[in-house]
Amino acid sequence: MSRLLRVMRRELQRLPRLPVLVALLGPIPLAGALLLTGVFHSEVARRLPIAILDFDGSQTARLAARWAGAARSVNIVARIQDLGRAEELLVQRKVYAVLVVPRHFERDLLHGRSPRVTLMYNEQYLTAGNLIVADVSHAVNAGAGAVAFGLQRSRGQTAAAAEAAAEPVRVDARLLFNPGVSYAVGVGLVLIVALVQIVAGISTIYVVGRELSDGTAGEWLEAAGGSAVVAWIGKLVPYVLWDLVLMLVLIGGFVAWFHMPVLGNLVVLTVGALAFSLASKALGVLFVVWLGERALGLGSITFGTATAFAGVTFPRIAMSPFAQVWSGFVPLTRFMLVLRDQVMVGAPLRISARPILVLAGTALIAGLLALPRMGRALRDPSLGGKE
Amino acid sequence: MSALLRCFRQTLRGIFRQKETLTLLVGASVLYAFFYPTPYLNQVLRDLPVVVVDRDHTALSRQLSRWLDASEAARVSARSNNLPAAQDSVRAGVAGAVVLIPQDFERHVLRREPAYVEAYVDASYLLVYSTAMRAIQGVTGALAAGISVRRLQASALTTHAAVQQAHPVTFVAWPLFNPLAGYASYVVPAVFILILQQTLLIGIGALRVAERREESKHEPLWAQLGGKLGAMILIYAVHAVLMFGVVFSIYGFPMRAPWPDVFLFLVPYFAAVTLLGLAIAELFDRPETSTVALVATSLPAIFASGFSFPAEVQAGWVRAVAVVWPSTWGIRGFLQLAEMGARFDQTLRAWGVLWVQVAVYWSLAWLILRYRRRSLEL
Repeated sequence: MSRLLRVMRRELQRLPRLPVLVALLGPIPLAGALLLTGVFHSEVARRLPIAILDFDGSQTARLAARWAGAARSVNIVARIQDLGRAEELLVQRKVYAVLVVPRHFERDLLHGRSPRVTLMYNEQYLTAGNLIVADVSHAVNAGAGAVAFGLQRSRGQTAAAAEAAAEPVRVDARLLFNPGVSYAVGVGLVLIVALVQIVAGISTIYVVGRELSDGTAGEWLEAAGGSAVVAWIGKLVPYVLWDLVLMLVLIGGFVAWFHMPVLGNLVVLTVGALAFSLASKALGVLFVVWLGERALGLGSITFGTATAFAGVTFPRIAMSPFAQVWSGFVPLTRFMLVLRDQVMVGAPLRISARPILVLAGTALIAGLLALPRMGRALRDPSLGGKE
Repeated sequence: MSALLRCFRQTLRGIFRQKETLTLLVGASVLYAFFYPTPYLNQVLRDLPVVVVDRDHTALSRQLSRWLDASEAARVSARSNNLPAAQDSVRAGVAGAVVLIPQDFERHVLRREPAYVEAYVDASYLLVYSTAMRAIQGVTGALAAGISVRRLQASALTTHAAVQQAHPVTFVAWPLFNPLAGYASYVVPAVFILILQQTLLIGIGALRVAERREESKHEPLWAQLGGKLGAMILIYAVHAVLMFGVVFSIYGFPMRAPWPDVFLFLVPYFAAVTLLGLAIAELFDRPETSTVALVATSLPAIFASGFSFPAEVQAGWVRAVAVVWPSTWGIRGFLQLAEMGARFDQTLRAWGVLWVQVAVYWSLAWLILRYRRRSLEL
């Protein structure tokens, strides 16, 4: 036991000499998480700038503009009369969309000729574009529905019949797990967890890599009284504990800041967090014992791009076969399932058991693959990549 | 002038002589360019599994279910009578939504009463949510339109007049620049611009560490900075061709800008990043330090750029921080040029800010390098 403590104490004493490691463990992820909190602080996009291109100029055309303006996600910032100006505003990204009210809109509407209202929207900015089109089409159809309702009523139908005639089949949508369609929940959370994974994986590669490249592995083994097992456990345990603290602060802080109700089981979450840390650490060890200094490159690619593969912003079922397989090895993918199930959904234990077991399996397999080199890394100075 | 050329050649030699800098400044961008887009290659989410709970069992309810299955975005993965079990499959992430067609659905329609379809949609995944809603609303909308038209025909209107009256206003959604709402076309161009920044910042950090070990030549500072700029802009122009020419055409992403415009736009981008890299490189004491310090900055940098969650609704202080990152302006202007088909003069705002950054970071790098040189001479 005292040998284990000696290795852990040595690890802590090394910290002041590795300032970049200290930065990676604390200030960098903290600053990153703060910034991401600021990015998503409004949770939903409201009042995005759009323009109205009014070819009609009638009172009724202004009514159509009011319909669009009633949509919560938009704010009409310009009323214009020519298409060239519309293109200019769109391309310069001064507006995300332009609603085109055609010439003779009023006349056609009153004569029942169904005038065509076109929303040109910027789909390069997909988030903004999709929000605006869904919201504005809803608002315009509702406004037009009111007009239809008025027309039916004027033909002497009852209110109920006129209402049904205007919109005979409707969708009553119940949004599950993220009822406010918050982007902090849908996108922000995975980014915070991805930051933690970068810290967990890269710090492991760096602390082990430094021992190898500095040629201090002998000293490390000595502190462990010559036991490789004690040396590795003593090395990694402080960082696993730190991962847990970091997750509590960053993920816990993010969840609390955005008032996400934690519907699941805290014990399951903690076990999942531990498995996530171990899996990330095991991959880091696997990379560094086999690749030495070059492990940092592989680690950056694996942990740095994990968000794209995690299946949160873009579902795994839609990914290319290669990406589906790769994402299966990325711990973030599995831990996001645990978080979704235990924070947003409140799913039963058996649903979260699977991703947690996969994380544990990832840790185990990566650990086993690293094992043949873990002993040698301590004894053979040539593994430092400086041969 | 010959000093500038010497520094230019010296920088290139320095990069190609060492494994670390070669990997970071040349290899990394190539690898990322091919690897990063792989999740998104299918562009859109198709055939999202949806469970239908049909309690009506009529021709109309079956038609709704069939149309949903036929829609591009969704497929009916199961039909069930058990709503809680169906909801469990959404809870477990197996299905994206449950559509409940209540009893008496057809009867309501025939009686000309409003008929409702209930949709339980997983909003924990935003793309699943928007795809499911689009599919369900598209199908019910089509069904509703057919019903309205038939009713109006029954009141002795011609088909044409009935269609027009069923929709007092025809709403046309016209997506611009990324008409298929492709996810790769949305994410990849922005991320490539970011990758160029991050590999360049990290690579310069490693390069400066190596250079400081053998710094002896007393070239003028302006030539040192200029030589570095030249070398980096040259290497990264090649990366730009690889990413936006080769990789874009292999993966089938659109590239709408003429190449001279792209180079013209990217020159101050690469210059600003290089100079920023030179300014912060003094913080790094070993070749790998810059990687450790900067790998976690990619996520905040790209999301602060506003390419995803709109900049207009981010916190004001985030905007203030984002201004200093070249990627914020590089992404903005490059998307305008290459994806939105802007003329060069329409990107002048982003281009202008990049030049301001070049001036600021040049001064900063110059001051820092001069300070360093003086402290060495003492």
